[in-house]
Amino acid sequence: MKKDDSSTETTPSKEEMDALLKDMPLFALKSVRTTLYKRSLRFRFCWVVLMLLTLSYVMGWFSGALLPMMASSFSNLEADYQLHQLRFLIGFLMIAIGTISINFDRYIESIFIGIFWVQFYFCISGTLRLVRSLPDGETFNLTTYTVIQATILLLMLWLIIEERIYQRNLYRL
Amino acid sequence: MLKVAQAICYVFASLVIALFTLVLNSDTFEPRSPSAAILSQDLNTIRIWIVVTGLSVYSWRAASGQSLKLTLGVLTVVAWIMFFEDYLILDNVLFVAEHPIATAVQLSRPAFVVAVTYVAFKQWELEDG
Repeated sequence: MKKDDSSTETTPSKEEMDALLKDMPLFALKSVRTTLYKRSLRFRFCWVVLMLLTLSYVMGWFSGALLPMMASSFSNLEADYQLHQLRFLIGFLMIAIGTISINFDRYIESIFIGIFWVQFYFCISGTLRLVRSLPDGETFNLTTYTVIQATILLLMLWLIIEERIYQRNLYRL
Repeated sequence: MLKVAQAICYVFASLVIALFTLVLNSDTFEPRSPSAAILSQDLNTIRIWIVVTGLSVYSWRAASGQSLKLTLGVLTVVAWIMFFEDYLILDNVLFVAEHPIATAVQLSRPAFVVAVTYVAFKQWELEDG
């Protein structure tokens, strides 16, 4: 009898559970927004531009506009295309991880440093592949690719610096 | 356990450097096509620099008593990505040398990836705890 009393005391009702879970920050979009609004305007600018670049990349990929610019179009090597597909997937995984870290407001700097170096590896190896695959005199694709990659890297670097400044100010307070 | 994992990482890095300097520059390197030769040459050039730079930065930071968790985290992520790239895609393109060092690198690579992940997590735990 005593056991029954304790079980009714410790088990929350559905209404109580709903009320408890309502304000949980896990994967709620409002948490990303909350974290972004805590940061500087420059941080938010970098994040929004990065998202816009990602969106335009997805649009370019699915519309086929990117295909003539890829190394596989020049080298005719299936591995180049598959490599690009894998990196495309890894890129999205990195965006997902970055968004989750912003959502939880934890390890943002560390995670973005990791993402920056992976992106740097992609950028260097991608540029090298394009240089080696392109026919002589073809510079438009290389320039476009390098400018886009450099922009992404600079934005990420800026994001990391802004986060470091924010954390330093937070620590001082 | 940590020392063993670190030893595996050092042994693997030494094997990779030995492979690139001794084997791939010799006449035993025979890719399947000229395009594949360029691709493997490009990737190997980048990778050898990553291994040398990673090892140098890690050793320098360890010797000077600086934080290692982020360096190890980055190296682990890059190691996993290169592992996936090689085993999922480049397996049919890259030449598998019959040389004993190449076989040793191929066999020890999964152990290295697990070891470097363990070292990174352990380092994170040690520095945060």
